[in-house]
Amino acid sequence: MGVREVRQLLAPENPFAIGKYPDRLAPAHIMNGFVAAALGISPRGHVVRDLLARRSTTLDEEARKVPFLRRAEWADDPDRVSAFRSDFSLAFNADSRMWEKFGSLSLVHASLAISNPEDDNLGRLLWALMNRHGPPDTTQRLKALLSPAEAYDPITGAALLLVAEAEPAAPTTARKVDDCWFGSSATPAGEHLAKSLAEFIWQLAEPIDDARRLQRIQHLARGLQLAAVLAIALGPLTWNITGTVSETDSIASLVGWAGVPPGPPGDPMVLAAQRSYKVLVERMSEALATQLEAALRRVPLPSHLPPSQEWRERFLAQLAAGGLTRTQAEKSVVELEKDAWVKALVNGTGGSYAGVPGRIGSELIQHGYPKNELPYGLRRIGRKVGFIGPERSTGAPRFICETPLLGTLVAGLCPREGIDFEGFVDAMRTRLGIVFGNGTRDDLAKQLGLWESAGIGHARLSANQEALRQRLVRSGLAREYSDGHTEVVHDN
Amino acid sequence: MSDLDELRGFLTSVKVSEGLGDGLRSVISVRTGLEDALEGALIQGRDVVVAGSAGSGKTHLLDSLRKADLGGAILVEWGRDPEPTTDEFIRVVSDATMLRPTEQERMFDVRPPNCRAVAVAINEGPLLRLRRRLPGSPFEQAVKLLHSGQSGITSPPDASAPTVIDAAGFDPIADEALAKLLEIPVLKMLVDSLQCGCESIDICPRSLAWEQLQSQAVRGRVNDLLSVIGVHGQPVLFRDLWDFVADLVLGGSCSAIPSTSPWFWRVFHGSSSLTSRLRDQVDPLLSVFPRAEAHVWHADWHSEEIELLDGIQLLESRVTTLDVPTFAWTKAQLFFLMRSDVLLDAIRDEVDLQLTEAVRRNRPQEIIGAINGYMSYGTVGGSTDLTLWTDLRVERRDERAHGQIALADVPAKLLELRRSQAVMNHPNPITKQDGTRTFLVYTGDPPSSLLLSPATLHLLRTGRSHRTVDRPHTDIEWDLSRFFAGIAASAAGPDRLHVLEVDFGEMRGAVRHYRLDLAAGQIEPRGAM
Repeated sequence: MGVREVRQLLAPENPFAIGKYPDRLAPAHIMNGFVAAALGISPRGHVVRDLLARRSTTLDEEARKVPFLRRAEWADDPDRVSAFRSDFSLAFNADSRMWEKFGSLSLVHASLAISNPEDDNLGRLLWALMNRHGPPDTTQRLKALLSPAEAYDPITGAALLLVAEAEPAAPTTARKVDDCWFGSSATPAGEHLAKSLAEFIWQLAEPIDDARRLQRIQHLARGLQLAAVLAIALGPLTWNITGTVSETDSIASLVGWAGVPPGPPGDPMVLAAQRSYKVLVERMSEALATQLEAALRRVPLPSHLPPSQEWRERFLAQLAAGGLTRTQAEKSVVELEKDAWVKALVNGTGGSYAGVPGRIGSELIQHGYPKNELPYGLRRIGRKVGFIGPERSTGAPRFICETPLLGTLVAGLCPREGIDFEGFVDAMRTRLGIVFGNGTRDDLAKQLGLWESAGIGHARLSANQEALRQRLVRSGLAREYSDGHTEVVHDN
Repeated sequence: MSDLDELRGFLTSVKVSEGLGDGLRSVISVRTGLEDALEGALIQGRDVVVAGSAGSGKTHLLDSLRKADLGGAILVEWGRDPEPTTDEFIRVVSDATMLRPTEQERMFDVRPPNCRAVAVAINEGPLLRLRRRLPGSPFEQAVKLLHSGQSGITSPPDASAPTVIDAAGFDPIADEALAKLLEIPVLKMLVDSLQCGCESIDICPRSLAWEQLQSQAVRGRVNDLLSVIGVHGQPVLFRDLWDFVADLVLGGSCSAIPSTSPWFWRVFHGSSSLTSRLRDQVDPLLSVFPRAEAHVWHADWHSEEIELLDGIQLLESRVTTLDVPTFAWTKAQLFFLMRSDVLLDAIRDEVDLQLTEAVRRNRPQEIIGAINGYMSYGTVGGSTDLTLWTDLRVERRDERAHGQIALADVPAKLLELRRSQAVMNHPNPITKQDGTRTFLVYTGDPPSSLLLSPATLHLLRTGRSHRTVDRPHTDIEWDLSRFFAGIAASAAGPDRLHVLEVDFGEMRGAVRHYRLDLAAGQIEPRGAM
C-alpha cells in the first residue's frame, strides 16, 4: 500500500491530502490547475510549453502555430531561435517547473494554462472550493486579471503575442463539490474554512490595469499554495467540530515565528512555533484516521452480504465515492492487499483489527504515510512559499512567514482603506488560523496552551507581534505613526 | 523652587515642557526652522495641522506662537477662551488628542469670518481615525500630505488643503538642535552645582569636561556624530534629545576610575536610547590619529603631535599613566577635541561610506549604478538609466533564477534623492524642512520611492547573492521589487523586452533585446548589448 491508495480512500472526505511527491507540488502547478479548472484550457499552452522547453534550434510545425513565429524571418536562424527559447523561458518558466512533455508555465495569461497531474489535483479542488464558496463574480475577476485585452508591460505584451489567435479555452465545468468533504455543508467548521479560503483567494485575484498586474499574479500563485497547505492541514480537523465556527483558529491555531525566518534555535517563541506545528500534524493525522475509519464503517452494505466480504465491499465503495470506476477501485484494493493485515481484513480471514475501534483508520494512515511523511510532506509544500521552515538544515519544522508571503497576506486580507495592525493580526487568526500575536485577544495565550502560564504566553505573543509589526513596517506593508499607532496598508 | 531645581526635576522626569514655568521654559527653548514655517502659514491664512507624538515638540511649537508677530491677529485657545466677534484671530487647538471625538471633528468648522486660520496639534492615531470618519475633510488631506512627505514625495501645492507640519519627522540634528541645547547656560550652571562628591568644581571631572562644550566646534562635533543615527532612518524626537542631554548632565560617577561622569564618556557609554543606537554604529577606538597615538599612550600631553581644537584643554593633563580602560576613555575625548575630523573613520563596517557619501552629496547616479549592479549580480554595468530588472519567480528555491526581465529603463533625470519632509503644502513653496530619511524617488505619476537606509546601502554595495540562504537579500529584493513595480505602473510599456541571462558559474551576464509590435503581431530580436 502506498500514498496513492490511501489518498484515494481519503478522497471523498479529505481530497486535500498530501500526495506521494509533495516536493513536486509547486505554486506554478497549482496555479495552472486552478486556472485550467476555472477558465478552461486552450491548446496554446501546450504549444508554448513545447516551444520553450525543447532544446532544438529549429522550430517544428507545432511551434509555427504561434502567429508571430509563422511570419518571422529570424525563426529560421538557429542561433536566434536558441536565444529566443532561452530568453522567453526566463519570463514564462520563472519557477523552472516546465519541461518538454510535462510541467507548468508561469501563468502570465490564462490561455497559457495547462492541465497536468503535477498539482496533485489541488488546483482543481481549490477552484471547486472557490466556485462554491467564493463571491459570484469570481470567474469574471479571474478573467479580468488573467486574460487582459491590453498590455502595459513587456511580459504581458509577449504573452499576448504568444497566445494570439489561440483557440479559445475549452469551457469546463467545475467539479461538483461532493456533499461530504469539508467544503460541503456537512460541517459548519468546514464551511467556515472553505469560505475563509475562498474570500482570501478572491481578494488576491483583484484585477489591475498596469504593470503591477505581474506582482498581483505572483501573490495569487503564492496565496493558492498557502490555501492548499491550510486546506490539507485544517480540512481534516473540521470533521471533529460539531458547533458553529466563526473564527478559523477554533479549528486549529497555527502559531508562527514572526521575526526574521527561520528564527534562532532555542528561542522560546521558535520552540512554541515548533510545538504548534507538531501538535497540528498529530491532530491532522488523528483526524484523518478517525474520519477514514468512520467513512469505511458508514458504507451501507447489502443485507445478504457474507461477513467475510464486508470489508472488501467497504473499501470498494469508499474508493468509488472518491471517483474511481469499479475496475480502478479493484486495482487499488489489490495494492492495498499487499499489506498482510489488509489482505486478512478484505478476505475475511482475520479481522482482529476490525474489532478494535480506530485501529483500521490509524493503520491505514500510518502505512500510507510511514515514518515522518506527514510532517515532512507538509513542510515541503509550505516551504515553497516561505510558510514553513527552516528551508534546509535539520531544525524542527515551524510556521514562519517570509517577506513575500507577508506581502501576499496583506494583499489577501487587508481592506483597500487599510486596517489597524491589531486588526490585521486578528484577521490572520480568525480567517486563516495563523497566530503571530495576541491581537485584540488578551486571553489567547491561555487558549493556545503552549506555555507554562498564560502570563508568559501573553508576553511571548506580544514580543512576537512586535517583531511582525517591525517587519511589516520595514517592508513597506504598514505605516508606523509617531504615537505608536500602526496601520497595515493595502499594496497598490 | 529655583530654576536649577526645576531644571533638574525636568531632566529626571518624562520631560514634558508644559509642566515648566514660563521663565525656565523660555530659557531652555531653542528655535528650530519649524516656528517660521508655522507662523508664515498662519499669517497667510492657511490652516495648519501639526502632527507628531507626545515628546516630538508639537505643543511646544504651538506655544511659540505666543511670542510671534502674527500680523495683528490674536491667538485664541479653542474651547477655553472666547472667540472675539470682530477682531481677527487665530484659533489654536494645542492638544486635539485630549478632545472628545465629536469635538475633534468640529475643530475646523463653525468658523466666523474674522478667524484667519486654525492651528491644530494632534497625534497621528486620532488624525487617522478622523480621516476614516470624515472622507474629503482637512483631516484626510492632512494624512495624505503627511504620508507623501514621509516618503520624500512632494505633492503639488493645494490652497484648499492645510499646511502640515510633521513634528516627529523633523530632523532636529540637521537643524543643529543638539548643539543649541548644549549651549544653554543654565545647563552648565546645573553641572557646576551638582553634589557629586568632588571637593570642588576645579577638580570635578564632570564640570571640567563640560567646560569643553563651551566651544562651538566641539558642540558641532557632538551634533554631527548624532547625524549618523539620522542616516539610519530613524527619527530623533526632541524628547530623545533631552533624554540624551539629561544623561550627559546628570549621569555617571565622578569617583569611578576612570570617571564615568564626563559628557564625552557618556556620549558612547551613557544610558540614553540615543547612546545605545550610537554605540551600535560608532566606536571611538576605531578613530586613529597616526602621529599622536603613541604620545597619547605614553601620556606625553605636551607633545605637539596632540593637536587640539583652539582653546580646548584635555582632562588628561593630570594623568601620568594609561591602562586600556583609560586609553579608551581618552580616545572618546580626543574623538571630539582633536583637530583632525575622524567621524567617518570611527563608523563601524555595516555603514557603506561611499554610498552614504553619495546620498549626502546628492549623487543619485551612484545609487542608480549600485542598484543596477546589484540586480544584475554585478555582471552588467555602464547604463546611466535605472533598469527595472524583475524576477518573476514565486517559488522559494535554493538558487535564484538565472536571469530576469526588465520592465522598463527609467532615465536618471526622473529619479531624485530626496529627504522626507517635515513641512508640507506651505503657502510659500520654498519653505522646507528636511526630515530624517532619504529616499530615491521616481518623480513620475504615480511616484514611487525607495528608502535608502544604511542597511540597504550596505547590501547594495555587498552585492546580491544567487543563493537564497543569504537571508538579508530577501528583504532588499522585496523592497526593490515594490519600488520597481511602483515605477513600472507608469513607466513600463509593452514594446521593448530586455532579458538578462546570468551564468552563475562564470558570473557573466548577457542582455538581449526584443522589440514587440502588438499591432502588427511581431516580435523582433534586436541582438545583445
